Amino acid sequence: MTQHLLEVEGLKTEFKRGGGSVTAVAGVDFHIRKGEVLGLVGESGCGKSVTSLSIMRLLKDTPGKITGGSVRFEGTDLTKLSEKDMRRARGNDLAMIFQEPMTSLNPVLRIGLQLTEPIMLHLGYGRKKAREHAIHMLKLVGIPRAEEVIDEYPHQLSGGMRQRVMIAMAMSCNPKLLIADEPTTALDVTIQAQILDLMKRLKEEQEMGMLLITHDLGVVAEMCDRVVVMYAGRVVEEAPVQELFSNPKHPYTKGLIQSVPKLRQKVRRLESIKGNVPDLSQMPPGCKFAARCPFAMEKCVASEPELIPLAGASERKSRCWLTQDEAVEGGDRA
Amino acid sequence: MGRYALQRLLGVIPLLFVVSVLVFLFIHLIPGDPARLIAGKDATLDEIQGIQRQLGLDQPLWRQYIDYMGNTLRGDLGNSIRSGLPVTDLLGSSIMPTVWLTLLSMAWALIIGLLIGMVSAVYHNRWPDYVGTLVSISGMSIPGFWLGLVLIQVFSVELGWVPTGGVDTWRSYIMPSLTLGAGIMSMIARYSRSSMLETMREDYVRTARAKGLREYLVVGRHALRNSLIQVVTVAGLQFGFLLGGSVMVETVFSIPGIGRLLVDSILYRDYTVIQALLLIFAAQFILINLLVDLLYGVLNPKIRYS
Amino acid sequence: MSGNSIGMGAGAPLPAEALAPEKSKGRARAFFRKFCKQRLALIAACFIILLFIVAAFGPFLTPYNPDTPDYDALMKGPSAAHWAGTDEYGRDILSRLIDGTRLTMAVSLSSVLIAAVFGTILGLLSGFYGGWWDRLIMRGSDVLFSFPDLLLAIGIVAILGPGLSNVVIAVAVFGIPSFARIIRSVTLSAKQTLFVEATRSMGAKNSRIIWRHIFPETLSSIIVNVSMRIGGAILAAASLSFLGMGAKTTEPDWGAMLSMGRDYLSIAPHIVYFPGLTIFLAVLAFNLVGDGLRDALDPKTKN
Repeated sequence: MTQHLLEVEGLKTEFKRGGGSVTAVAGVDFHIRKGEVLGLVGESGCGKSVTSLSIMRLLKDTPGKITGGSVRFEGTDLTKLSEKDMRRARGNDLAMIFQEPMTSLNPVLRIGLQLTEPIMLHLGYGRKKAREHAIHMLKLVGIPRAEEVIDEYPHQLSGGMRQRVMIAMAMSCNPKLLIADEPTTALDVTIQAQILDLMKRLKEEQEMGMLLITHDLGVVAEMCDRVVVMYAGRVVEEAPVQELFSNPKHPYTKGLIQSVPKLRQKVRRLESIKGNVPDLSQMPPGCKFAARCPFAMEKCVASEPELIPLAGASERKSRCWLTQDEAVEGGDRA
Repeated sequence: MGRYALQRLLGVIPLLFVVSVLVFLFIHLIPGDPARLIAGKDATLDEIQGIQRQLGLDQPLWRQYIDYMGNTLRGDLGNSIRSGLPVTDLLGSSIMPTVWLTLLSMAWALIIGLLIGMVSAVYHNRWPDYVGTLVSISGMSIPGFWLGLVLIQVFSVELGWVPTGGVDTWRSYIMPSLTLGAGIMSMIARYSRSSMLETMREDYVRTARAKGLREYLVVGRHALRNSLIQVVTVAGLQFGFLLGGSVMVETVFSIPGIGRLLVDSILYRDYTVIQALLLIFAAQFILINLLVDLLYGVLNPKIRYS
Repeated sequence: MSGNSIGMGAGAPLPAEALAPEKSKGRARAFFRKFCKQRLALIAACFIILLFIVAAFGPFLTPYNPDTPDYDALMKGPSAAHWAGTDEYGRDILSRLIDGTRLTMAVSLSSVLIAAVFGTILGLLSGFYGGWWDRLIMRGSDVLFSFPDLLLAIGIVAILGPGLSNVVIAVAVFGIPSFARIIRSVTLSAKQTLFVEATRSMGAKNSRIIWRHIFPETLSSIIVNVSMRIGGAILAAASLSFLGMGAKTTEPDWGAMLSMGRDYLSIAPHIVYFPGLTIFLAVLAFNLVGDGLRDALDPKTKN
């Protein structure tokens, strides 16, 4: 087995709340290969954003803390790095784009300063060279009049343009892995398509791996190679993208897909799945989806199934009692 | 920016007008006839009427107001009842000590206050935060005149390090400015703490961290700049309160400034001087608030470039 | 004094929408629990209760008659007989401080309550009716705000003449705009709630809507602002007395005691130290409780 670009194993992140703590991410496993786009899908509150912040170790100033598991990037466990070494990786090999382009740029600093910061830091360029590189990046992400925009302030740009700036910033140091947390959710539909095309093009040019976090299955279908579906802080299904859509195994995934009549349509609420995501502080003992599942059995309420590789297909996993009989005989329970 | 500035400027004019009317009416609100007060107890009726005519008190009120404002705008604030000297002369000789005192107080209050606020925010809910909070709440609870007296007792009387009062050397300003600045320092510390805490939760601070920036750059460049805009605004608004506080501090430290002049004038019922000082304090306060508003516009790129 | 002495209300913006009303018992209990978690505020609250007890039973608690001079014990430092020493007439300072508590509490409480009553009425009217009422009241408070507050008080005392009752009026006047603004913003947000809309569409009278539905919503803001301003009022009254514009020097007022002691600073500093320390502790206690109340009533601060 070749070494993967990113291997997340048993990642667990807890949040302090009141006196106790709640588990937002409860033992998540997945991997990303070089040049591969992995989609991370689920309803809001399922722990996908916390997973991405945990990988980047950006939980400072939140009550959250990684309490278990490992995140190996090119073999190095990021959770064990010193803060100094982690800083060296952030914005350099690992870059991130956030959901809200309107608030993710600093309103009182010029675009130029914000763009050249990581370039000077990680590539060691001088001010002038960094500025040239920044202008080059702005052109690369399709910003017209890049030479002028670089001296402007964020509020002078539209949301789409700001997200392009964020992408330029993230890509400026040739990252090996880009984490994009709902990069198009806050944008208009036409702009969404442009940004997705841009990200696809850049990914192919630079051969980087990408973790694309979204609740939009249309985006998944367009962008991803493989998909991981999360529910209540756990991975419930993992599959190559075509197989996920053509033959979903987990009832939750089925519900997700059914709730999208057409691709490209935003899903905020899952109308074909009744009920709500369970409260993180009051998790049922069994399968976390049992209460909403149309196929739930007694067994489902009593105990939680494991995420088990399925026979027949490559790299398919499911966490459901119904699919246990399809499991690989004695398959390794990763 | 131009439009913003113009709006602020126009907003101030009616306020200045109302304040000037109030200050003008001040002398008429005092129980008793101003002319009699000015002439003194033993004055004859003739003398009183002479003063009335001289001051225009026999004219209708609106006429008096126009004369008063005309004189004021020409720089004539009348004469002191007590000494007969022009009020402008009294002001001229006492304004500089007050200006120095307030500027020095503001300078150290701003520096120390921001520092405390920043440290408190960065070490949120840890011991430096608790110490900072205790210092700032004590600073705003301490009676300044008492703090001044304690400082005099310890550093002047006991140790003899600095003069007890006056304005003979720069060292005379050390204790008064510490005393006057204590309250403002606390307010700036409290405000910058909460403002920094808010800013540290902003998305762009997370972006700065995601770039791999060192924490001092994240705090010092990305968070502080945003908080600074608000903190400077609040600090500027406190200037007026410094002017009020200077009355106390100048009394305690025997500084011949305009605050002291005001207290003396009240004790001697020197109404023309009180009136002039009230007008000047209020106008100064309004104009400083205007300046702060404009400064806010300059600091905030959203307003500067619109 | 230090600028904030009086103006703390202006410098500490209150999140108006944050001050939700308490209706149910559960909420009141949650509030109590939150407040008690803040240990400092709790200690301060106990100290304030002590002050009230001293104010109520002062004459029974004084070890000496606060007004009786003792010419054999002039300006004596603290001792077993006189815990806080004696003043320039040989009067027991501790007894005078105890006796003065009543005066201080009366002056500060009454001035803040007067400000609260007028400010709340103006704020309710301004927020509820809007229009020219609103403009008039808000411009009026702008005018009051354009005088630095201690100066406004000094100006008012200059017109009315010195004396504690005039100090009460002066301190009350500059408290009014702060209450008016806060209550106005709470009223505006309360007006928008469906509840009020519904009551209005059912044809309830305006006065009834204001009194029964909007006023209760503003209560917690009023309580917080009152507690936050009392400290400032104590400081303001003490400042005016210190300047000779408030209490007469014969009255056992904390500020006046300090003012008298000033002349003996180099020989008997304790005459200045103890009254000042008392003022400081009292103001600190009210400020801490004000902070605690605000945090406990603010749903944004979690536990």
